[in-house]
Amino acid sequence: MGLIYAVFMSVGWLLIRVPAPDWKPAGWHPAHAKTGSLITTGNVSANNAIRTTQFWLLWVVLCFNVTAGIGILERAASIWSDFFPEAASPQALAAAAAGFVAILSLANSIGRILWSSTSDFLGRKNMYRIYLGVGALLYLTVVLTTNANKVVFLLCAILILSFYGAGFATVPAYLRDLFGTYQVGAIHGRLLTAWSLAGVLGPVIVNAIADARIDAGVTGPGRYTLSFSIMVGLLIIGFICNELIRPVNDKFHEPADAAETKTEARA
Amino acid sequence: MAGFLERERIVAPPGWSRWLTPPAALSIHLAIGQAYAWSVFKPPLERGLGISGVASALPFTLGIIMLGLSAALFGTRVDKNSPRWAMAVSSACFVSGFLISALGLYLRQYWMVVVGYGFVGGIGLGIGYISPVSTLIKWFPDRPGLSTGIAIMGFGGGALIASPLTNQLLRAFGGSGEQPDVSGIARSS
Repeated sequence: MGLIYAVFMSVGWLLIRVPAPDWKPAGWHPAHAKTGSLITTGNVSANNAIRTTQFWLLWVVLCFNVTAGIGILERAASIWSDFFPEAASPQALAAAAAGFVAILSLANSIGRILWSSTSDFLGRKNMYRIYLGVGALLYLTVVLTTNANKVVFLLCAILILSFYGAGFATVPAYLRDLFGTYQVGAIHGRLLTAWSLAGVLGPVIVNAIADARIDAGVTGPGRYTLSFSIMVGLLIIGFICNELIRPVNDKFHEPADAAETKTEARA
Repeated sequence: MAGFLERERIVAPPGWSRWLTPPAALSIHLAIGQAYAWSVFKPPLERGLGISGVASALPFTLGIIMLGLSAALFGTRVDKNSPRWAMAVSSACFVSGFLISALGLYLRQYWMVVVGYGFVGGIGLGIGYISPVSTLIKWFPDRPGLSTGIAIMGFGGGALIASPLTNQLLRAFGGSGEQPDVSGIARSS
């Protein structure tokens, strides 16, 4: 498997190119670029970025958005069989649960490209309002309706997972809007520590609570209502943090000349 | 050889189509997206080595922690050096992670799987995750959301390739079932 991937990944580093410093897409000019109050023309270095409140607000947004998604993803098969245990046979139940997992993976993947491309038109902040706000409402719907309606449950789960993937996919573009392209890779890298924490937090919340409920003899959706309610809370906190994001103060921008020369020196 | 990885060597000539960069980014992201399919290795490892579910999740958890840490620590260097350098380093780390894990399984040393896949492979994840994304953003200043969506969709889609592939390999090398052969799991990785 390692060897298969060695070949596969080599295509990547052989094919990759960087644009020449003065390169622009045909027919596109920065002056015509979509402008928005959050979109900067300045550049912020990675070291300065982590001194801004915007960076840490976005850190919390990503962390809680990911926590909420991982919570379902990590235990998807068991969640399905706990919500909808009635099936013709154990095999049919296992197959339905596996199908549920596959649908979620697909929603996760498609959400990444679909919602992220939509963000080019609606703006990054609005998209996160949807991911976090609508996401919280969807989780709430699941908590309230539990297993009453399979279709409602499926729709909610699919949308939640598509928002989870989209949260990942849109964040580098959000960073570019706020901090410019100068060191966006490094800033993105530092932001991903939020994912490290969420990768631990999400499964711990859902698994620990579900295990405790199972020990207490709770069956069915009751095993998850508390953890899903926590997710609603986390998403609301994330939503507030997103609302608080303002354009980055000019004092953090690299001097225009310096950023320019550095780019050229690197090129 | 070092010159081959440098930035000057890969500045696109005039007329280079920017639509060739998403496939390059995808080939890295689809590969490292294998991380999401780690759970396929869990049951054979648990049965073959007699370890707990928490222990068999350890390489994945460490991998994600290393993803964040290495992306944070090496991010500046990734921006400064060329994406070809970053992707080559990432490939080397990710692949060595698998090979160290395989060796560890042959020797029945589970800690080598944790260190190999989790620590070494996790560094490959971190560098491989950010480098294609920041390169694509520079190629698509008009559509940043679309470009990052393409790359990061690859990471999500990686599991859709990796889980059937892993299952096939495990079956072919006798690394599945109730009594999995640990060397078979090793050959699969």
